[in-house]
This record gives sequence, C-alpha cells and structure tokens, in this order.
Amino acid sequence: MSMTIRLNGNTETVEANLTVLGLLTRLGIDPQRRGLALAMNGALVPRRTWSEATIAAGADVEIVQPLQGG
Amino acid sequence: MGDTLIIGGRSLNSRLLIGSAGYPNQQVMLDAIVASGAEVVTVSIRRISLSGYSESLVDVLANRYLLLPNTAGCATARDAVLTARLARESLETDWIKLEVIGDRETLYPDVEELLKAAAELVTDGFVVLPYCNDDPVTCRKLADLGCAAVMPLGAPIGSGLGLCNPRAIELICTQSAVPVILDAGIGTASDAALALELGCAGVLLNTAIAKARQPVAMAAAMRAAVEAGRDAHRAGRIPKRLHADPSSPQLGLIGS
Repeated sequence: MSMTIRLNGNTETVEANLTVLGLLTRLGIDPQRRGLALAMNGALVPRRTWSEATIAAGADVEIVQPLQGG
Repeated sequence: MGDTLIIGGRSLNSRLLIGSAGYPNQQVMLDAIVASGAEVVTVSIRRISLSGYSESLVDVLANRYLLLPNTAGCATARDAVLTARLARESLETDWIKLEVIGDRETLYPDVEELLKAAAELVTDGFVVLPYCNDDPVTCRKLADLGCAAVMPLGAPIGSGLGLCNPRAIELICTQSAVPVILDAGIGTASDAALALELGCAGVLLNTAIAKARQPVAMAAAMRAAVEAGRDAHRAGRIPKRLHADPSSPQLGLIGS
C-alpha cells in the first residue's frame, strides 16, 4: 500500500503506515542531525515522538533547519 | 563596565546583534561576526534540501553564539507561530525574532498579525523580539503583551537608508518599558551610533555588514560605532541651541 503526502511543498508517494522516523530514514536524513525540526499539518512534531508519530495519507509535512538569516 | 544589555533575563556584553545572511562566503561571515563582537546571531528557519546533505549553520555557529531564529518571510500569525515552534525545537532556544510581513515589496510589518502572533508566543513561553514599525503605540502594545524587547525599523529592510524617523525612535526609547533594538535600515556606522545616542539599547543589522565592500572591516566599524553611541548616550549630549554660544571666555579679551 502506498499513499500520497505533501513534503516540503512537493507531492510524494510513500508507503502507508510510515512513521516520521521512517520517513526521515527513507529520505536519507540522519534523525540525530542537529537543527532538524518537523511539522505535520501545521503543528510541530516534537523530536521525542518521531519514532511513534505516524504519517496519514494526504499529510502536509515540513522538514526544516536553520539557514542564513537576518 | 557593568553596562550590560539584559534581554529576557540574559546579560549581553555586546549591543550589536548581527545577521548571518548575504556574505560573500562562510569564512567572511565568521570573520565578520568575530570582528563585530556580537554574541547574538540571527538565522532563518527554512525547508531542508532533500537532494543532499548541506552543512547546517548550527554546526558552525551554535557552540560559539546565541542563535536567534527569525520568522522572516512569514505573512500570517499562524505561519510565524509555527516557524517559532519549529525554531525552538531546532535550536533549543525560546528566543524568537518575530517578523510578520504585511507587504512583500516593502517588507513592512503586518501589525495586526504581529500582535496576534506575539500574544500567542509570549503565552507559549517564548522570549519574543518583534520586528515592528517605528510607531510608539505598536511598540507599547508589544511591550504590554510581554515581549522581551521591541525592534522598530530604522528604514526598510536592506535599504541602508539609516534612521528615517529619528524623532519617533527617540520617543519610543523614552517611553519603552523594555529594551529597544533598532532593527533594519542601518547603512553605515554613523547610523548605528545615532541609534544608540537616541537611546536604543542595541542594534540588529545584517546587510550593512554583509554587503559592504569589506564586510569584516565594516563589522569592526559597527562595533566601534555601537560602543561610541552608547557611551555618548550615557554621557549625555548637550542641548541643541538655535544660535552660537562661545566656548572661549568672554572676559579678558585683548583690546576690550
């Protein structure tokens, strides 16, 4: 089973029942990486919940980090 | 000595807060930050690149400076609040430079959304430093909401026009119950000095250093200007007069 989600503004097809941690792994992003933060459907998903938080079909996921800024 | 800037219970020895964007390269940025003497460095929160690893600013800055994340580019209270929460998670800091932009062309703040976001973030435990208009009423409302400082613009972001309305900035400084940080519009060192002379507790700037012909030298100049402006403010400028007032004695003049 696969599903469609929005990931950083783009539409992506991923397997169903994916956790946040699973998504990061799938994307090749080290979940321990400093500065990483993630929101789903307009709400912060705290790092400590990444291994349990599941991503529903149609979810809007934003993965961010600090960049240069004024 | 003993003249520290206190924001949100934290003492800062430098009254210059500096941005991390727009430098010719990362080494120049790092050298400029050192030359500026700043302890607080602003960063933005942006989507990560999914196409490969890019070195995070946290890796190069976080151990040496207090990183102040911003909500730059957010146009609604909702987006700004979410960005602030992402920033808190990302950088493990409660500090947030709150920007809610009302117009993408001029980058003026949307005051209505700014106040809404500030209220929500203060309630949520953030140390809120809002970028705002040079309007004493808006600044007072932000302070009343519990913001740790107010950061009125001197001129539009990145314009380098200096302090377009020094009387308003001075009035805000006179009335404000929280530190006033002049944010945006600084073009050169004298602008920064003027801000401190008028009573600002500090200045936050980015472009004036990053886009200077020699960013590191300009950072040093800004540091000196901020210190001189602060010293002059504390020393107390003389009242302005409409006409001359001789400084040499009038008595004992030969030929009289």
